[in-house]
Amino acid sequence: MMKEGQAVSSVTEKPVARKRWKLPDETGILGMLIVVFVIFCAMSPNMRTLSNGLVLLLNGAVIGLLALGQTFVLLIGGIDLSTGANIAFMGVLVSLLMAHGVFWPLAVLLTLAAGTLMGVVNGIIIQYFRVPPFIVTFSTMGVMSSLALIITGANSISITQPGFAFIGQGLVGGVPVPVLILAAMAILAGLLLSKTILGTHIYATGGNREAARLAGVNITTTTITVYAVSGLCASLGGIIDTGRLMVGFPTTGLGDELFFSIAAAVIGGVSLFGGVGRVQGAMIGAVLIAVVSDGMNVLNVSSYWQSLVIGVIVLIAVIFDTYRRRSAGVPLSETLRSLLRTHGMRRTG
Amino acid sequence: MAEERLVAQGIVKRYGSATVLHGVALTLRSGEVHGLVGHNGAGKSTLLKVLAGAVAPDGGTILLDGRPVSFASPAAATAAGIACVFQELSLLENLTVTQNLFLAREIASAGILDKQAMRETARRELAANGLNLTGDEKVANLPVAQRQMIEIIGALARNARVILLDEPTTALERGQIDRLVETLRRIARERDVAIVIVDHKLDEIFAVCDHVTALMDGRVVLDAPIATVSHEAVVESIIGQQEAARLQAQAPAVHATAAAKPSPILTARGVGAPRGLRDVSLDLAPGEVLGLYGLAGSGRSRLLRTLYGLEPVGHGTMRLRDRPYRPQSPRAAMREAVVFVSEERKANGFIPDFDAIRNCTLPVLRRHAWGGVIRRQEAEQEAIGVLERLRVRGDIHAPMSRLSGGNQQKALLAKAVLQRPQVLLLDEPTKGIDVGTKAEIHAFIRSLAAQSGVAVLVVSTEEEELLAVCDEVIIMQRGRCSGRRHEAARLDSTTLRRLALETTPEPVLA
Repeated sequence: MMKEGQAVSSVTEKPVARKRWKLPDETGILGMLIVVFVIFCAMSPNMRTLSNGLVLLLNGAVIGLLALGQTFVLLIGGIDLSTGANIAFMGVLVSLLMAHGVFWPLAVLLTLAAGTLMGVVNGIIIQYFRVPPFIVTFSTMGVMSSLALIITGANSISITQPGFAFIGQGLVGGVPVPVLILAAMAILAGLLLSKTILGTHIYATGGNREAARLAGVNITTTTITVYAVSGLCASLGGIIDTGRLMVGFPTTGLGDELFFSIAAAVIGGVSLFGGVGRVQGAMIGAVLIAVVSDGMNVLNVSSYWQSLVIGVIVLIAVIFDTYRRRSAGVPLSETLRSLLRTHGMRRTG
Repeated sequence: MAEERLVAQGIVKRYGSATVLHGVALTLRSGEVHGLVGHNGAGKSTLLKVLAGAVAPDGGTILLDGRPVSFASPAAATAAGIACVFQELSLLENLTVTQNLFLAREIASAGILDKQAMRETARRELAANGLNLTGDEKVANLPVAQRQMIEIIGALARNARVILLDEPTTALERGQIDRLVETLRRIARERDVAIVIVDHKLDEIFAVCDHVTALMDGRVVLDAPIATVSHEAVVESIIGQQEAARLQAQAPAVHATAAAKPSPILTARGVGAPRGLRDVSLDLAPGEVLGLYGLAGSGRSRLLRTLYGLEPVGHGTMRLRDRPYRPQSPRAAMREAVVFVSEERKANGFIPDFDAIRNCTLPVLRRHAWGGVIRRQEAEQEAIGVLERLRVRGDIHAPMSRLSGGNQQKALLAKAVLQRPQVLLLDEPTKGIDVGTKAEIHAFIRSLAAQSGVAVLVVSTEEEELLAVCDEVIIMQRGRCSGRRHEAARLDSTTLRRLALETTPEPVLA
């Protein structure tokens, strides 16, 4: 590996400008995460314990998964508003399957497939009928949250297969299973985005749809795939939530989840206009949100304050991001123009 | 004699360690049109931005009507009477012409718009400048030429004393260019304003300007009344004598029409498409550069797009390597080694946030991947090799949107070459590019055909370009092309233009 790297750098060095090392885009938000964490730790000794750290991550796992799926969608310049409703629907679906005697691992697989399918449906409607993603996923949000109520008659479904609890409550080496699932998914997603053709095509589609198409990128496949990934992540979130409670609630996931997951991605530097952002950033964003929620719990601050604090953080992150773009030599007017262009492009597709 | 309206002296601009302007002097006189020419990266745009208040100079003075000025922002420059008409037009498309002309200086009493007064003033101004518009048209529905004129009228209405135009003719057709040139000369004279034009087409500079300034590497290398300089002198000052000699030596002999021509790789017979293509026949052989010339709306670009699978074929037959060819998508065309370089460099040429290397590798990732995982170093190495061969200047590791237009275009050619094309479709390959880079690109296209045996089809609205780069030229008229070839060596711009205008259809290719 080393040898290869050296060979390449000696080629690039000579005639053309050498690649300059620069700070990763996520440096700022990582710094903010550390500062916030240190402040909370200073204010409360409970914050500093390892067990609290694990609780914090466990509570943040579902948000993290949603943010992961949202990252894929945001990267092509789309948005998925249906993830929270997908959690609700998939949570009751997995419960119902088990209630009807389906062995829990199979129920999990079927639910994951169903969640992915919901994402595929989003993608197909967006791609083939040229409807803006905001409207499509806005509608499917309504459809799925309603389906969750319809198929349960608004009743909760208790789960009788104890093995299922492993997904929500299990520990491996002292680490909660949901945290491990999130970590595995994040690593897979990160590799997919940075190392594979599909990943490059996702960034290309979000960067300039028409140019990507002319360069031979299959926009249809790319679009459907990212919504499928979002659907998969959401259904995984639904399964985890259900496994933690061991009850299928038709209203799980319809709270702050959607807001927090988009917030996590945006705080982490994933552009709402496509083409820019990484999994690392979205995960740091998700952890930051988890730290803020947990810290406020530990300090006995009313949970009503959570969304307010996170909303303010999102605004700060976006302002910071805009400033960074500008100071990197890209004038603000150019940024705004490219925003307008992205919006114009999305309509004509 | 014209008075000195704006005098810039010793203008210095540095970006980090790079000095872009080394003490540039420029004198603009009222009533005159002043041409600013130079290689890409020579400093023309930076100089314009300094004058327009968009960039703060690191040294030097600017006198406007004898008084020293320094602009904190473009708005300050506008307020002082310096107006810019840049390549990306700044009109609001969702508003009407009148609304645009009166934007931020609407006529109103007690907050209520006086639409009648604005409409009348707008109509008078439009008519005075040869625009047959009522003022109620939505800007979105107007052609580029008219929008540009409206911007200039808007600048005049805001009492501009200096108007800066950055490549105003790139998007225009021959007739529109002539009209613009005439209008600019008249405006300069009648309104007593100083006009600056950045332009790469020297015939236009000679047609419109009173005075020309050439920049090279941030220094003024030529500054003279247009009447006192020759065409050749301007070209030499732009590209430098050494560079001119190098290109001369490097380019394979143009128009070396081989005696025995290989059989065509791509043929079209009676091809028509729902929108704009009626009856097109052509043959394209490996190793040749074939030009396609026609007026706006004749279907030149549409033909290229059809050959690339972007537009459906209605009737007729297309054959590639003696097999039927009917691509349904760009990907299908690319699988057949047919590659297209779009005219709309900024709109759909590249991914702005990707660097040049990543843009180049985008279409060929499959070649450098195993199971969908990219071998990035291998892919990048290949791309860097081609980018170097094309002498792309600038940071190829920075977002491609930051390269200059000429270098972007070179990178797009590199991207095309990496796809190992057998048929290369080029739509306006040097649009808005300086003379030096243009010559480099032409030489590269020639060598691609001569040495790699690529079949190249070039669409261009610039007659000189087609004559310089092509072996032969075919003509499109209103969606029709007979496929009859005209040897470039025996053509000149006037003949070409006449051919495109002729209404009698040419004999059809057998």
